[in-house]
Amino acid sequence: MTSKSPRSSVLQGTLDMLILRTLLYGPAHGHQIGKHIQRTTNDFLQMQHGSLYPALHRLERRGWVSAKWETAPDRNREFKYYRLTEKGRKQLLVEESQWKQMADAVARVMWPTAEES
Amino acid sequence: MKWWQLRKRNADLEREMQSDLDLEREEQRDGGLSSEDALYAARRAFGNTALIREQTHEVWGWATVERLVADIRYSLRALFKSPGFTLTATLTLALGIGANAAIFSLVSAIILRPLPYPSPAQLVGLGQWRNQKGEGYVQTGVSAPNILDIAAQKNIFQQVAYYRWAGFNITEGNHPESVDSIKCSLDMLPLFGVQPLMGRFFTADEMQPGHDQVAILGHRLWQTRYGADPAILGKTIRLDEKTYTIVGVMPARFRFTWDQEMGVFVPLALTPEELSEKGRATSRDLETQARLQPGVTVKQAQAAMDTLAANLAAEHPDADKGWGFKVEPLHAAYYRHIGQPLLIMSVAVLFVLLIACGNVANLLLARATVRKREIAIRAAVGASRRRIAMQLLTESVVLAVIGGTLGLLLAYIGDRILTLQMAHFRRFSVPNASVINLDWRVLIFSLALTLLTGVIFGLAPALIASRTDLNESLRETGANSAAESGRRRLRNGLVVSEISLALVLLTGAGLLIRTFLGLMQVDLGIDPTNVVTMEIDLPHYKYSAPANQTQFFRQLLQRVQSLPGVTAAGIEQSGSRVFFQPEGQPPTIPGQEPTASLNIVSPGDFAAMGVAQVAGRTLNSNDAQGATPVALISETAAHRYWPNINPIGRHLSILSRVYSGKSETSTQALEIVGIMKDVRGFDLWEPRSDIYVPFEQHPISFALLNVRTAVAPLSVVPSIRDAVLAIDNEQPVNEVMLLSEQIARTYGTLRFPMTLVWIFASLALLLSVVGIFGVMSYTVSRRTHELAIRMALGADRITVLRQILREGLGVTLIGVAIGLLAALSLSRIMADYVYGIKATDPLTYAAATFVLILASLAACFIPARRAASVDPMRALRNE
Repeated sequence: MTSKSPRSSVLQGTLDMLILRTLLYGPAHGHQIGKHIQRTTNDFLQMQHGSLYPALHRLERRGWVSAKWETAPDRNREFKYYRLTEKGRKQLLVEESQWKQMADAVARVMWPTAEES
Repeated sequence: MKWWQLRKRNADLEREMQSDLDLEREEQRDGGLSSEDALYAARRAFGNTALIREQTHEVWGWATVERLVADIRYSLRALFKSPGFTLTATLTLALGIGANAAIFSLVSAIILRPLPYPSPAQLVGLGQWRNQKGEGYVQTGVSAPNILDIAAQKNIFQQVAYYRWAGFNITEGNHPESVDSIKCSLDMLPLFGVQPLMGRFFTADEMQPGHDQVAILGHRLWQTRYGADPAILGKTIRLDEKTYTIVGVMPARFRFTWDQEMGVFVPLALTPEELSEKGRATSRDLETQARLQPGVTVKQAQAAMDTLAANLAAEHPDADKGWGFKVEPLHAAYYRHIGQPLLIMSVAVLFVLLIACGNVANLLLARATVRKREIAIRAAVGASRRRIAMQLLTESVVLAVIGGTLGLLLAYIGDRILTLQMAHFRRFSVPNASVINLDWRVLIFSLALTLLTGVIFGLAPALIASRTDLNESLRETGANSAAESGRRRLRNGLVVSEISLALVLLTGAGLLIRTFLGLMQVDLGIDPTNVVTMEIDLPHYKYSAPANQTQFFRQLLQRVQSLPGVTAAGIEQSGSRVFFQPEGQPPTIPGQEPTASLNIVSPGDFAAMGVAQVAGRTLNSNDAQGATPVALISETAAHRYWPNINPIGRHLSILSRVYSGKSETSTQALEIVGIMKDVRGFDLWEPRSDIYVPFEQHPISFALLNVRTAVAPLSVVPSIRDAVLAIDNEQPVNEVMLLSEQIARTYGTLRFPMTLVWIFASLALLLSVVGIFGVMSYTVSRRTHELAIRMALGADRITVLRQILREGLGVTLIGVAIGLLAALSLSRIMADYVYGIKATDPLTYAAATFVLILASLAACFIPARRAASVDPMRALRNE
């Protein structure tokens, strides 16, 4: 079995949210999404972008994103573009607020003095 | 996501992944890598494509199915790669599943298939019964007044109907023919919930004597004899001496009493005498069926009938005391006689399948050892234990399905054979036996059985084989590891169960064979060689006067006796059971009167049949009308009813017939003049009481003519026919048959179920012996190394041979011990089916045990000899 780095296991739960957030900028294909997440996290997540696809297909199945093969504006080639649906937008808000609550809660436990002082 | 989109979906994913890889590769190349390095870098960045593919498929929700398809494909490939194993296993399974499917076809046809009438569960059969001294439980039809009493229970029964078999001859046209016919009551045909194809059913008016000359035709007769004449209604048909107006035709699919195709139905007009109080005791021959009110159960109906019987016994003690009513589902009434034998056969055939499963499980275990490496490699590249076990289990089920398909083929052939064989059973009223086939019930049963079989024989091997220790397996050593000893225990356990099941079957088959041999040894009391029999039925319209009937037979016997080649000739009408009263003995309680079979014979019949005289005199021509009425009795009757007294010279009075309740015309006392040796009829199992009376004193219109010859018996038949025609040129002779053939048929019907169980037992023996052979061979092959060391250290061949045999014998003996216990505990079920021995007959058990031990020792001998011939040097060098 492939062993997982601790960082990629953190990714598991939040990958959906990251994808949805990335698509907020507009439609993108798998490679672009992967590259964007990698770049913005300064390669911290060290994500193999193949692992995006199960997540993308899951999001599509839930109706949070829609997918369509389209010709890229800068190339003479078709890519499968994913875009956020209305449902996906709402889901992003939900996940974002959950993540925030979670992060706040963790922060309060981890750095109590900063909060109290 | 639907499954038919899977393929498109898959292509889509491939394209998507490929485009990502391409893009990444281009970027890497732009970053300065060589084309090849860029490809590898892109792959590294992308990740494990196989895993991603699988995870994505998981998301689509069809992964389970896709895995199953892959497993099946893999299984087929694996099975094709080892054709020897596959062939052995599938054939074993085909035998087991096929035999089960064939027997289940019988169960389906006879027990599971509902009666072909609307709301069949409401239909019940009604009968009267009493416990008869010496004869036990006696069940009869219902008497006419009792039927009226029953029909009055409107809250229980919607309709109560009755019939009698008629047996008409159609006496018009060039060739008279006999026709299956029924005299039935007003409600009989409507009871089955059918409508006539044409015309109508009978009316209440037509149930009165004198108005009953109307007929309804069966569909087949209408087609064959009348060419499906659409204008048939109103035409007439001549049956025996009367002409009937045709008022209806039954639909093609209608069958009477489940599966009888009747030619003609006519009204059953009960006579005032039958309906009178006198008829209560004398007309107990009406076959009665009824339809329950909706919601009324058979149990409730039975309770109501019990109350009725108690009331009737109080109101009419002479006629009804001691008689009870029996209500049973009509369907159950039809298959009553065959239910239990069918159960025994089903269990026997299930045992065969279980043994087959044991063998295949053993084969799989051995195979798992061979495939250890393959399984270890699969585990090494990431397959979970669960996944491997599922794949192995899939392989078993695939194996079972192939075996099951072959089995259905075998079952189809089996069904054809069963159908032919069951035709002989008609006389024992096995219903619906003509339509044994692979109906949907059998198919579903076989499918379920197949899948279950696959899991049963596959589960343990799959679990054990998937429990691999990677290091150990890949090193491929360690024959004595813990896993190995677990496997050996399982293998031996399987063989032990196989042997015990086989022993149960062998003892069962042994009991049946001993029973059959015992029945073959039974002294029939007759000498069947060179005897030919035939039926002569004088039509009532021509021979209504008893004197004419007697005159005909007297003349016939004279002519036949003087034919060249004939040594003796006689007539008999046998078999009707009667109540009688031995004179001078205290009158017995009603319902406890002695019974016997009443046989009306000519004096020469004893010589013709070869029945020996025991005491007194036989009949002669002086025992004629007007002379002292005489009777002969059988030895059993003498012992049973005149114990410690010489019956000769004493008298007996015949009271009435048991089944019809008809009183005898002459109730005068008969003088017993002689005792004859016992004769056994169709019921070979028990001696019966017989009374013989001369036909001159008891006129009959129907008789069997028995002729003993000095030449080939069939060669005299033409001259006998001529003799008949010389007396009456219209009188037919029917059912010409050799007595020996008739007896062979009786034995044949007994032999058939015995043969089936015997076949199953042989299969069981064969399979379990193959099982122990396989296990011992395997053991020896695994222990070559150990044996070689022993022999190198000085053990001689005999010691090794003995050691292996002892091991095989140990396994066998445990199986035998368990099997004997099981067989003994099942012997109670067999008790009803054995004759002349006990169901715990020690000889049978000993013989079965002996055969099994001998066979399994023989099976062990081959591997044992191979073990003994191990060349220690070569075996050790091969390590």
